[in-house]
Amino acid sequence: MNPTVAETDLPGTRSLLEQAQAGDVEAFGEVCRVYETRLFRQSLALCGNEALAQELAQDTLVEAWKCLHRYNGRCQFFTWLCAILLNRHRNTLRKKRPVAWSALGARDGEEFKNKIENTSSGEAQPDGAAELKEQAALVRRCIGALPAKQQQVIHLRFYVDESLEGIAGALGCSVGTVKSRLFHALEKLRAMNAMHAQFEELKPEE
Amino acid sequence: MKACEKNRKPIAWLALGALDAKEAAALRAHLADCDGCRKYFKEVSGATNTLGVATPDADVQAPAHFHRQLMARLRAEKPISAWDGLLAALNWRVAVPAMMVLLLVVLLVLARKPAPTVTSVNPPRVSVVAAVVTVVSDPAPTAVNYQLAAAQSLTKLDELLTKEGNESLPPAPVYTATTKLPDNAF
Repeated sequence: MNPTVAETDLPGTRSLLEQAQAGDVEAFGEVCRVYETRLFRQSLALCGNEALAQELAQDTLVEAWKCLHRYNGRCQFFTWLCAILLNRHRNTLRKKRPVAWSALGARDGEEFKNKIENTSSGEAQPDGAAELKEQAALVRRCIGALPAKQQQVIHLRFYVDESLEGIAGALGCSVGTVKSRLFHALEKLRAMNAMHAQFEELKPEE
Repeated sequence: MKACEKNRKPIAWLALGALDAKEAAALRAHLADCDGCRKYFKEVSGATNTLGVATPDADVQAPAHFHRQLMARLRAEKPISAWDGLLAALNWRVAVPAMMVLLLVVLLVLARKPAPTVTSVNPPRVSVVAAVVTVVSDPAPTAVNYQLAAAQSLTKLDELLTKEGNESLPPAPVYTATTKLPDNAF
């Protein structure tokens, strides 16, 4: 491993990673124990579904184990994991074909309708929490509308809290490229934000 | 009012906290004077603040069986060595250009190879004197041969020109009308 392993990784992780890179699966298991909850949270934020999030997070860790030799220590290990997570999530979305409403069974359709009604009525949650969740979903949709490479940098910068150098290391590109992608992503998000603000202003007051 | 074009990127990076202190101070001084840039900074900062809403929920925990399942999967797998990783990366996207380059290199090598020289066991012995005599005795009607003959003597040149002048010339072309005109043409 490169001697410049990100110093901000949790103490003890470095030696465990070195053991894991030497082929020790139990050492890698210990590394996973450190990061799996954070990774699961990231996965859940992307998928919005616990079962899918669990599968995605596990697939990510298995892939990380299989290609552990590629981790060169230019970023935090968690950032590297998140870069794999984002790639896998993008591939999953690519494979997933949109399902026509008519293709759903009658029972599935009813269940889905009920869920939408429950969600929109906000019965199960206090108003504030429901509103926050709605806003978060909206932001996620806006990020999802960005090109994949811009999504990656936004996610790593804002939700993984990585430095520009760390993001560049995780994605295998230059800091300049990361800054450029961030700028273009922010330009688009700014426009979406402005549109949303205008839309909110047009809404009739309750 | 629009933001200054040259400041758009630095303003975005300022909102992201990705500018160094000196550049940030200079840009903040500019923002104090420029309405367009100040408005743009406010919008970009608004977008970055909005992004914060979607931060993953810190209360969520991985399910209890997550680690057990994961370890079972990890034990069934083995890490890919650097060499295996390289081979796995050699899919058609890499293999096809690599083959093209290899083919090109082979073609270039073949093209640069010198043409085979014909060597005979008993090469004909032609003396320089004989060659010169041959050239002078039966030279082709070229400017070089005329110069050679003139260099020897004017008589030689005269002989050469006279000889070529006496040689039978090709028959002059005979032009005949091949199209018969109609009787009432005139």
